[in-house]
Amino acid sequence: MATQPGIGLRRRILVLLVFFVSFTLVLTGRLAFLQFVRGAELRARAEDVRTREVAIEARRGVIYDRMGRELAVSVNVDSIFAVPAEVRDAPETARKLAEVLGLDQNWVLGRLTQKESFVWVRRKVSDEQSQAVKALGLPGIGFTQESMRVYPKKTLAAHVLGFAGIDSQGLAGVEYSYDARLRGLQGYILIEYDAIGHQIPYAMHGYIPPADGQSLVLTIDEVIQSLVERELDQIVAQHSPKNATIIVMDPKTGEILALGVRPTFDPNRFADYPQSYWRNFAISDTYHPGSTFKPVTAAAAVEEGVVSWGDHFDCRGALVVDGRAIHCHSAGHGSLDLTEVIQYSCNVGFMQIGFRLGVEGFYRYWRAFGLDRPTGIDLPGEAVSLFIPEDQCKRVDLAVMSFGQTLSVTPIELIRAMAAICNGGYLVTPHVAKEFRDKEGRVIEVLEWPVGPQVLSAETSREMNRAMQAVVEAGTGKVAYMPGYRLAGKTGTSQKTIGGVVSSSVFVGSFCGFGPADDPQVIVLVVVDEPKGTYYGAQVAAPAFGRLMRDIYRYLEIPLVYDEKEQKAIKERDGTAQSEVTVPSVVGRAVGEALALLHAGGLRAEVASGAGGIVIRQTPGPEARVPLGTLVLIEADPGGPSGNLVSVPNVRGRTITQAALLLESVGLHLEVEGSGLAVAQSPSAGTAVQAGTTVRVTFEPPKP
Amino acid sequence: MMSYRRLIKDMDFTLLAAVLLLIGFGVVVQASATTNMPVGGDPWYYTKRQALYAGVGLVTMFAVMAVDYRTFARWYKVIYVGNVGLLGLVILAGHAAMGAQRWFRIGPFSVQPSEFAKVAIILTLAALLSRRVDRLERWTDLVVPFVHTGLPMVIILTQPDLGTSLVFTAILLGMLFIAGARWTHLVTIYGGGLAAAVTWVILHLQYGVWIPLKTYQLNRLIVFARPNVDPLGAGYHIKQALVAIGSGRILGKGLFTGTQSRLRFLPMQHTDFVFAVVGEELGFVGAIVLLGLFLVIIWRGVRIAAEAKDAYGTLVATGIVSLFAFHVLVNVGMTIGVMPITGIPLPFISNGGSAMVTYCAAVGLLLGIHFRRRAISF
Repeated sequence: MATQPGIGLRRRILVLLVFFVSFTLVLTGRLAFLQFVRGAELRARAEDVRTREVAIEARRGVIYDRMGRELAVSVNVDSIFAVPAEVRDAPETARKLAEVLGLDQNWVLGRLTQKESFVWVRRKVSDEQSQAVKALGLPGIGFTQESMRVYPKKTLAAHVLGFAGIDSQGLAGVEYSYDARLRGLQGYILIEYDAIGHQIPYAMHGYIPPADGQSLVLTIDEVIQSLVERELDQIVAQHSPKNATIIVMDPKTGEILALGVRPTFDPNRFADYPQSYWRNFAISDTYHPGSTFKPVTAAAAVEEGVVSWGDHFDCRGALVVDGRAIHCHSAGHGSLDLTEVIQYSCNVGFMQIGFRLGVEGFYRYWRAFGLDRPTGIDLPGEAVSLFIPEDQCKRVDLAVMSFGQTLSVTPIELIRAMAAICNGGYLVTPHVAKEFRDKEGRVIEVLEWPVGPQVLSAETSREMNRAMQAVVEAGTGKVAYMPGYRLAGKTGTSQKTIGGVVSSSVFVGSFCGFGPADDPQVIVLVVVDEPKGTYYGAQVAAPAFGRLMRDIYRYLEIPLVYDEKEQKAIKERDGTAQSEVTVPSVVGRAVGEALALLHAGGLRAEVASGAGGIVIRQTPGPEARVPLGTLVLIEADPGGPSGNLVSVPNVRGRTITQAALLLESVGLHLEVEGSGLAVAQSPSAGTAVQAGTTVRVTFEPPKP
Repeated sequence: MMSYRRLIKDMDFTLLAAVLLLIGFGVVVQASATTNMPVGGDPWYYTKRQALYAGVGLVTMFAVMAVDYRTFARWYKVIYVGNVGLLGLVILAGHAAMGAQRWFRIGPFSVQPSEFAKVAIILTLAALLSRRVDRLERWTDLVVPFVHTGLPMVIILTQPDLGTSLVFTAILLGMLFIAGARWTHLVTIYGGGLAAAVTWVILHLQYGVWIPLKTYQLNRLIVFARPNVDPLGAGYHIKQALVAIGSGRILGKGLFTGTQSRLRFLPMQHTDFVFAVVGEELGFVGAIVLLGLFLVIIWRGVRIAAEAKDAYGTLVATGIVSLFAFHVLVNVGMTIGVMPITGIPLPFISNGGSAMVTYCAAVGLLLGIHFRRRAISF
């Protein structure tokens, strides 16, 4: 069909090949130049120079109580910054900003004229302030969204929660001890800049989204915690102590159900309080436990077999040790058996028990009960006990330590030792964190807390509980006695050591008790430091313990079991129509408080309607006489200020449909203005409003 | 006729191996360049597509090889008319994307007839020239080939697709040179054309004379001449590509770790600028391996042209070699800043189905010509 290719053609093909190969060589040369000669310079440019990172704060995880009630949440708020180079009229801008934000004009002017590319004017401002500054439309003044920590229950469990600072960093409490997991990971927007710092329009930007913090579920129960806060408030009102704490713990697991401290603070405004108020007296301070320590001495001696329950101890009001007379609080108890020694808290008896235990035995159990070291509780700032080293311990020291003087422990150490005595002999790890959840509420990790070695036999534990039950039924703790509750415990009144001298006028009154004695489910320690006026543990601490236990039993539905004597007493009383009670007035109170009050009055109570937090009606009404156990229906408001508050989400940049769905998801309504993408909203993001509020959102078509 | 033994004996395994390696290379690079831009939530969307194109391409390659290439010479008028008709249709009824009307939509795929046109023009121009070998001495002899190529070229230019039209001029140049046109004539025509084009652009810029180019096309030409004139606009692509390649240095940053491509500073990282991803992630070594594989295709192609049984085979092979050479030189050249930016893909590596099928068909033609070569060796 066609001619054969000739010789000339072949030569031309060769020319073509040479041409292509040489061009390829040119490309190779250029590549080598770029990658070898200019490689380092171009790599540096790729890595650093052109990009800048703008941090996006991650949202801190929510802190819940054990039933999923919110104790700490994060909401979005605006922060105001300035780019000094872009501020036009600095003095005038400073004047306006100072006026709206309530700042010093000269201070603001100083910030606006700094030689920085970026300065904060005021961080985390209120919504009104932010709107007001935006309305001024000042050039060089910008806004960025940050998240702010809100503690909706205010002072409740303040010392457990702690607080987070302006940069969302945890500074105290679990906010500090679990900061890394609550905080999440900062995200970044990578923005490309040219050589003189202008952002390049249309350039692709890298975006590393922030990872929100994990949510923490505490072992704390908000209801029990509020009971504790109530008792602490009453202690403060009656006794004006220097410090006070109440710890409620599950003795078998070490879960802290409530932990309250006085003086306290509102973590929302932590900076307004003296730093000393932030101190967690329950774990950061030591005190002489006094008689509340005696069960430790007794349990150790019984476990060692150096005393038995049938032994008798003679008390003549004092014992001379190494030439020094050490007094009992009584002029002389006479002959007491071991149960009675505990029941009447006889110091002379305990000194004798201590001598039988000996220095070595005493210290061995001191360590076994974990009193020589921190408990390992997951709260920051734990202190450790103070005591005479074993090799320096003299006989007189042993005598005094046996009844809880000289040595100092933290409240958390004492409650742990007492828990080991009552729970069958196991040393638990006190803790407040239960589990971590993700944003959607799925469990990420359930924390495991070690239950330590058995330090007492079950037998010794049982006998100790029986003896301590006798303390409440007929001994120093009778003020806390209630039939059917089977409460057990030990009072304590110790003299404080001030400047190395044992004071005879400054005391610590305390009570450590638990119940039911035959199967302890709750252990409580009440410590009142330096009460004014009366100071005996039986008077300043035991009543609070009794009231707490009464309400906790009802809340946890721990059944009452009456022994024969108690049953007989109830029968006698029933004849005198004690089965009727007066309905207290709960209108105007918080729902939780109302329920507790009605339960406490021997009534059953239910919320009949209303989603809010305040009682507006009750049936039967106040002052009615009704049989014990009558059901009282209460009606709450449909969503009062302390009830269904929600935080307005940020809808900026979203479409109408997206915005509507987002608002709906938190129970808010959308009012649309314009069309396109959301550019403004009112109320602004992060504002706390009633559920059902309408949010007005302005939409504008996106600019090309 | 095509027995198994003959297939083994007459298959150009070197060429086949180079092409298979290039296709594999392409799928891996696609995976690295596109997992950060998922489509419909699927980060492997583009990778899967490229693998699918490769499969279709290989089937096409072997099918084309099996057909005797001289059949295309007999049907050249039909091919030519069909090709021009298809190009015309895409202007009238095609699908526009990224400011150009180049595609037909067929189900989930876009078909780009201008890609197929490259092979169509090689097959038909070879038929035309094979009757005029060594009879292209005079100026007037060149009129018919130029008109033949010029018609589809002008249609493509109106899409607009400057890069693809330039491919046609390169094919025409290579084939005319082999067919025996005087090199003085060719240099005069192409040199004169280039000079005229430059003059036209200058006249446009200085005096606003009308020019059939879009603003962005003009900008690319200006930026090529003066790279620092507009670093944030038209010069942005080339600067990012240079930073990507240069920062790869000798061994590269490793697959899936190039910051320029993964943070999406690189424009069109999976299509026209894919070579920058290779340079950034696999470094000088990877880039040289890639260029080496292309050089193998060019070397085997030239060899096949020389050994072809007839002038038609020689001319088709020449056209195909010119096609590959031009694509590689211009694409790599623009990525490393020695050519102006014209949107033409890197064969087998850039993402695109029509292109993949076209280049596989071209290789199928080369394999077929080799298969039916003369006994005498070059």
